[in-house]
Amino acid sequence: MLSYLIIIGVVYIGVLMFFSWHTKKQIKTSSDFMLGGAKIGVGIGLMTFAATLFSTFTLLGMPDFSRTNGVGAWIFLAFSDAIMVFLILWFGFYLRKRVGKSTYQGMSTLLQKCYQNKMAGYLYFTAVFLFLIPYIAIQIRGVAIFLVSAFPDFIPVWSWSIGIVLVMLIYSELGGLKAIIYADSLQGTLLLIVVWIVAFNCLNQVGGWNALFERVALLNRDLLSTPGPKELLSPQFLIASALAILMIPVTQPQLSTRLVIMKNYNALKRMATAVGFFAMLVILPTIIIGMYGAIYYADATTSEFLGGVLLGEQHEMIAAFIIIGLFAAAMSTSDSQLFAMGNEIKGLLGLNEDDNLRPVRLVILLFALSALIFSLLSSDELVLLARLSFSGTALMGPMIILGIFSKRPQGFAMILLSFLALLIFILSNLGWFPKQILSFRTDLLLMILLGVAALINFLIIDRRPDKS
Amino acid sequence: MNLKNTWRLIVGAVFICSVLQFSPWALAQNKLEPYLFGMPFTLWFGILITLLLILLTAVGGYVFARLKSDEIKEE
Repeated sequence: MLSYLIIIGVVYIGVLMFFSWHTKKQIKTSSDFMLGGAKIGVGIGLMTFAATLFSTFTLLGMPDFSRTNGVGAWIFLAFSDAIMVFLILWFGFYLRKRVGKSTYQGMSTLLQKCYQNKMAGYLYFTAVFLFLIPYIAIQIRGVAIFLVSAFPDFIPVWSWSIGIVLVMLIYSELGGLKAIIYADSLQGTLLLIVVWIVAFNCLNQVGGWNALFERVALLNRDLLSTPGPKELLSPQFLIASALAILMIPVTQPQLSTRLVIMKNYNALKRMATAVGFFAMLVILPTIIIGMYGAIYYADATTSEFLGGVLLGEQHEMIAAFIIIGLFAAAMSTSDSQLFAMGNEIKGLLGLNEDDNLRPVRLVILLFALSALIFSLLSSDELVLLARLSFSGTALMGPMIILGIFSKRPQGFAMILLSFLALLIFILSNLGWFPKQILSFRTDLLLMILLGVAALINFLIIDRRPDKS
Repeated sequence: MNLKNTWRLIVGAVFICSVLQFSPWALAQNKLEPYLFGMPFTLWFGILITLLLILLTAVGGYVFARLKSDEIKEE
């Protein structure tokens, strides 16, 4: 397999380097570097949004999640993604209107302008910094444990992790956003092909589509309905997850940037619909692989299941292709996140075209190192780690929507409430605050309260008549 | 029906879809039947309602773009 891996890997890295070199020639200003020229059409927009959204969490996490929690995993992710793409229609319009003709310097800076308060930007950046760390860590850990399964006696998991972080850092530095966007097109396509190859292989092994569900029903009926064998997928868990996923394009800078740089609103609305279909096409095969795992790997560990179904049962060339596809999925999400974090800090520090970008690089390095350490200490439950990331950043959603939707500054109340909600959420995840309040999940209750507070804030301030 | 009401109707339909998907009826434990194309109820209902939401997004995008056409022209 190693020879196949080297050949496919060299071709893949060669294509990435070509994208980087090709786009570097077109970069005239640091705005070109940071915003890719800001003219993205539907096709490229779809692939870059989808490749950034779907990652190791989808390719490794979702099969394992549906293997242990059943078909309710579809509602957890695909249905939530469908609500999310609908929100893009509305939020994308108002975000682009807010940014207007000025250069987009990141969500932190935009919030400071909307609220006319520096704290809004700093709070947003803090939340994103803290909760994108587990999301990057998932990419690192997912690929590292997979590579250890592929080459058990080669190097330990921490060595793979360091190597992966280095590649992510180098690529996010090289060619700017346009290089990342072009690479995303390759990586999104690769992800879709790889996941369907594995799913078809699983269906062939089990005897077809109908046989898959018949055999699962015989082994464990609980997998075919909610809340699943572990009783995780309760209505509250699914609603809280849907709210967290709904907020991803609002609160995660790598995705909100992609809404801003679309060519026009017509391209944006078509891209939103296309992302919805793409999500269905990517998530359905992960459910198939998960159900297959429930039949043949019911008691296996995560790494045994993934190593078996994605490597052991595949032809050597396909296995090598899967490793590169997985690496591509991790890369396309991580380089976009590292890059977006750089853009946010650049905006917050008010750095201009010719300024020294050393502070930006320092923050990105600190961010990547934090993710590396987190990845070495975290568990293999990739989906629940991703959900932690989504939920943490989602708490900033009501503050962002209020700021962007309002015609006038919205005062300090929402910033303070968002800060308190973030603090409570962190404490509840550390076990220092109850995870349930009055039979509500804490994360769900915080989201509902922030949403209501934002609405009240809007009705009080935005509807107040002008003093003049 | 004017564009604003059509847009409100689409937003309402999305909300109803969400309520339906998270209702005790759709999330009932051990509710496997009726099967459709070999799939248990939870999965095929989830897929159908997800598809419906994406179609509402396609129609909603068209209606919203018409509704805000003056502002979009300024882009």
